[in-house]
This record gives sequence, structure tokens and C-alpha cells, in this order.
Amino acid sequence: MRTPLYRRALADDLKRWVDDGLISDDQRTAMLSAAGGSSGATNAGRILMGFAAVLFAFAAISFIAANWGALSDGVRLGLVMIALAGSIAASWWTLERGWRVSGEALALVSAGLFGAGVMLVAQAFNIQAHYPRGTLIWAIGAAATGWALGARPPLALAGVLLCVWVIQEYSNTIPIGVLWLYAPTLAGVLALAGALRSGVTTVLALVSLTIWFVASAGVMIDADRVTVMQAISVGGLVALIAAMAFGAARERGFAGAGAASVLAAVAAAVAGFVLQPAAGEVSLDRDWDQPTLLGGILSVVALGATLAMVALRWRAGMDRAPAGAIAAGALGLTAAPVLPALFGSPVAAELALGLAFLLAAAGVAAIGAREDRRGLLAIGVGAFFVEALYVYWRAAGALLSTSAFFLFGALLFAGLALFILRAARRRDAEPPSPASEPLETSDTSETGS
Amino acid sequence: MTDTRVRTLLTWLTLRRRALALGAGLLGFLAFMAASQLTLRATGTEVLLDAEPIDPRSLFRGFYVIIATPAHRLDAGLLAGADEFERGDEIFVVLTPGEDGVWSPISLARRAPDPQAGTVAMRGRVTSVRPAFNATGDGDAVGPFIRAAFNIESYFADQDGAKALETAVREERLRVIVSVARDGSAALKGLELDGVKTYDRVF
Repeated sequence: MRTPLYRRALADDLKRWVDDGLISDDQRTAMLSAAGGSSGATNAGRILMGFAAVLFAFAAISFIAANWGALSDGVRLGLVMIALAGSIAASWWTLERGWRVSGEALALVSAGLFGAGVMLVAQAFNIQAHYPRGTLIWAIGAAATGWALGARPPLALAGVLLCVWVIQEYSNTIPIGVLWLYAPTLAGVLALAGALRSGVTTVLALVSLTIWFVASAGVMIDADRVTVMQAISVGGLVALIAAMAFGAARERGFAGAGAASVLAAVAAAVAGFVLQPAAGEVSLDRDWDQPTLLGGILSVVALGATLAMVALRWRAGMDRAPAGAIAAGALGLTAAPVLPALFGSPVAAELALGLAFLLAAAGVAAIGAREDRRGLLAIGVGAFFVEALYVYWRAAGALLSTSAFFLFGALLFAGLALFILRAARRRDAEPPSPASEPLETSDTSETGS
Repeated sequence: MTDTRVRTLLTWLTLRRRALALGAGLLGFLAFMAASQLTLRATGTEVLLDAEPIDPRSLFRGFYVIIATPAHRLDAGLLAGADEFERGDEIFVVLTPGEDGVWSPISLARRAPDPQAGTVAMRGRVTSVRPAFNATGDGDAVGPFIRAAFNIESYFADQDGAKALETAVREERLRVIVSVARDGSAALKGLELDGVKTYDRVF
């Protein structure tokens, strides 16, 4: 059913197209007829019925709320279960009739009611408050609701709950070590996000992965199993792998993969940047700052996986320049934890990492300019800007208020601008390639979510 | 062949069938959660534990009361059995009833002990350990002190009820009734206030 607003807009467009000679008058009439619609009286009746339904619902809810305290736990649970069954049935009924928005909203209500049921049972039987597994159960129920009813909002709720669950588990007073149960859960949510083309869920899943990684690294650092630099290094490599994997998924139409790829690339850039202050904080005399064997193994494994992914992407059509840049970045990330000991000076290691980061940022910006990839260009320029500020702050912070700061900044950015312009000119001078990778486009698979 | 079977299955799984399966699954899970707790309450060994105040200040937080019993704060030096635990370890606290009907810890174990008449083993997890120390310098060490959690640490009540319970805990008038299953899992079954037992009812 099309709304009156849509029909008016369509009528205006069709009239303009007839005037422009794009369609005939007969075609305009046929299209207006096909768009359907109903009389004003029928629409008014439907709207009033909708209001009546909402008021009935409010009456029921306020009656229950007024008497909630007097109800026994069993009756409360029974009411929630009846409401859950009713909302699932209502969602199915509206979706069967093609009323997408109402059906998905009711599906979200169903997912919410399941969570309320879980919390109510926990409260009725005095199961430990803030018990993280309850959140996981709710997330699984929300994901199942999204899959069963083909609705994205419950799946997005599952993505949010995944983040909450990871935070709760790692905040729990009882230590759990690394939360390995997260991996299959993430895989399931991502699979459903792909099946239902929910870009929001894909991005939320990536956020939860970031939270999980940071928290797990914290656990391992606390246990002296890896150093801070090793954890950041592995994190950067994992982010590079994720950026390439999501990039490949984007080419296959995976919803939200484009945004996820950019976020992962930003995470890799952040990891590269944060290695500098981490290197500066290293003390060669402290035991826990010495690279560990486990950290080394993890770094090498992550490096191998990154290089393998680069090789796969290169075979799939990635240009040599970005492939080379990613491989170089991966090698740099892997070598970073041993630089303080190698140079015999944390300060020298920090400077070396800063120079490498600056060059990498300039390279990414140049690649972005050359291949007309605005996302890469933005990341490269942004990283260059942040690094320039950091270098200046570390090396000559006291001079920030003087003209030297402005001169330094001007020279640096002029150099970057020339570099980027030269790359763009080279691109413009090259003949167009029929096999060039598609430009980044916004993800349009999310509708009504 | 597998592709065809998958397609056939997906075709058979219409929206209606999926919605029915979803409803049965979610409602069934909630019913299972409630039923398992009811079963634990009904079939476990009933254990009466003293409720101890956590600290002199108000314990009221939200609409529940924090429950602590002698099983939650253990001096492993005074108890038989294992005394080497780390944070996160599973712990079994063996309880036995006193003459007044209140159960107290007598020993600790890292695995479920063999069942013995007149005792129950309550399963929990170690939340903190303070190592043993020699307070007086005469060679007798005390501790280690172990804190554990058993999934019975929160008792939900309305706002007024929770305040009244908190007062009762501070005045040492409250005891908690816990049901302990054979595998050691525990659930709050009710409260004993001034000697009067009140069991939680679902209906």
C-alpha cells in the first residue's frame, strides 16, 4: 500500500515527465493506476483504527503496570510470555501481508520481550544480577528472532547486545581469561548479517570485535603473557586482515562491509600510531617490557595471515601499490616490539616508528589520490596530520606558540600536498583501465532498519 | 545434491513455520529456565545459613539485598581440606548442620567430594584470595582468606522490603534458606526472619 504522500510525489514527477516528453499521457495514467492507493475515507479509517490499537495497548500496559507489584512472579512471567507469543504472531501476520515496517517493529518488540522474560526469571529466582550469560542468551534470542522473521532490527539489537555481553564478561568480578566463546558467537551474527543484508549489524559486530580484542589483550598483558607493544602489534595486524577481508566481502555485496573495511583500516592506523608512545614507555630494565615468546609467535602468525591475505587480494585484482603498502605496514607492525631492544634506546625506536608512520600515511594518501579512493585519501591525510602534531608535540612542545610551529607545519603539509597532487596527476595521465577496482560507494542495502 | 537439499529445506521453512519455531523456542527456553530453578528448589537439600552484614554502611543498592554467609568468606586455615586456591578457581564448600539447624563450612575441596551423610557440598567460584600471614610472629599463620560466590548473592525485593531486610541482616535476625543440588549448584529458596521461615513462591 502506498501512502498518499508518495502518490502525490509520483503524480508530480509523472506530470513533469509528460511535459518533458519522456512518457506519454497514457503511460502516466497506467503508472498512477499501478501505484495503487485508496480513498481518503479508507485512509482515515485505517489511521483511526491504528490510533485505537495504540490506545488499547496503552490501556493494557498501564493496567498491568499499576498492578505489577501485586502480581506474583508466575503471573508476571505468564504475561510476558503471552505478550511475546502475541508479538511474534503479529509480526508474522504483518510481514505476510507485506507491511515491512510494522512487521520489523513488532519483531524488535518480540526480541525486547524475550530479554524482559530472561531478566524476569533471573529476578524471580534470585539468579545473580548482572549475570553476563543472560545478555548472551538475550543476544542469541534477538538474532534468532531476526533470522526467523527476516527482520533486521532484532539482528541489530543482537549486535548491540554482543558488545554489552563482552563488556560485562570482562568486567565480571570472577576472572574468565580470554573469552573464546565470543568467536563462534561473532561468526553466527556476521553470517546472519550477511544473510539479511544488515549493514548496521556488520558494523556493530566489528565494534564488538574491537572491544573483545582490547579486553583480551588487557588480560594477557596483565598476566605478563605478552607486552603492550606486542599486543598493539598483533591488534594492528588483525585490523589489516579485517580491512582486507571486509574489502573482499564488499566486492561480493556483503552489507556493511564497506563501512567495516574503512573502520578496520582506521583501527590499523590507530594501532600503528599508538606504537610510538608505547615504545617511548618501554624500559629495557623491566622484565615485563621484554618481548615474550608467546607474543612473538602470535605476531609471526598474524604476519603470515596478513601476507597471505595480501597475496590473495593481489591475485583477485588489487593493485601492486596498495598491496605493497599493506605488506610493508605489516612488516613494520611485526618488527615494532623488538625495536627498543634492537636500537638499545626506546627513544630511537619511537622516532623510527614515527618516521615510518609518517611515510606510511603519506603513501596511503598518495594511493588514495591516485586511485580516486576518498576513504583512503582521508585516512592518509588524517593520519599524517595527527602524526605531525604528535611529532611536534614530542620534539618541540614548548615552541607551540611560536612561528616555528607554523613554519614547520606549513612545510610538512606543503610537502604532502605536492606528493598527493603528483600522484593524482599521474592517475589522470594514465589511460582508463577496464579492470580497475570499483570506487567506494555507500552501502544501500539497509532499508527500514 | 547438497545444494538441492538445502534449497528444499529453505523452501519448506516458510515464514509461518519459522515464526512458529521461534515462538516455541523462545517460550520453551523461558519455561525451561523457570522449571530448572523450580526443580532445584524442590529437590535440593535445604540448607539454612546465617546472613552476615557486608559492612556497617547501608547495603541497599537498587531493589535487591546483597547476601553474604559464612560460606562466602572462608578462613582456609581453620577448615579442613584444600587451602590453595586462585581467583577464578572452582571451589566446593562442605557444609554441616549445627545443633541450632544452621549449617556451617567444615572443609574445602577443589573437586566435588564424595557425598557423606549429614553434609552437602556447595559449588562456587573463588573471587579473591588473601594469602596466609603471621599476625603475631609466633609461628602460627592465619588464612589464607578466600572469598567465593555461589549464585546466591542477591535477593530481590521491592524497595521497602529490601530496606527492612537490610536492617534485619545488620541486627543478625535474618538467615537465608538455600537449596543445594547433588552437583553442588545452589539457589535461594527463601528467608528465615526472627525464626519464621518464608519460602519464595512463583504463584
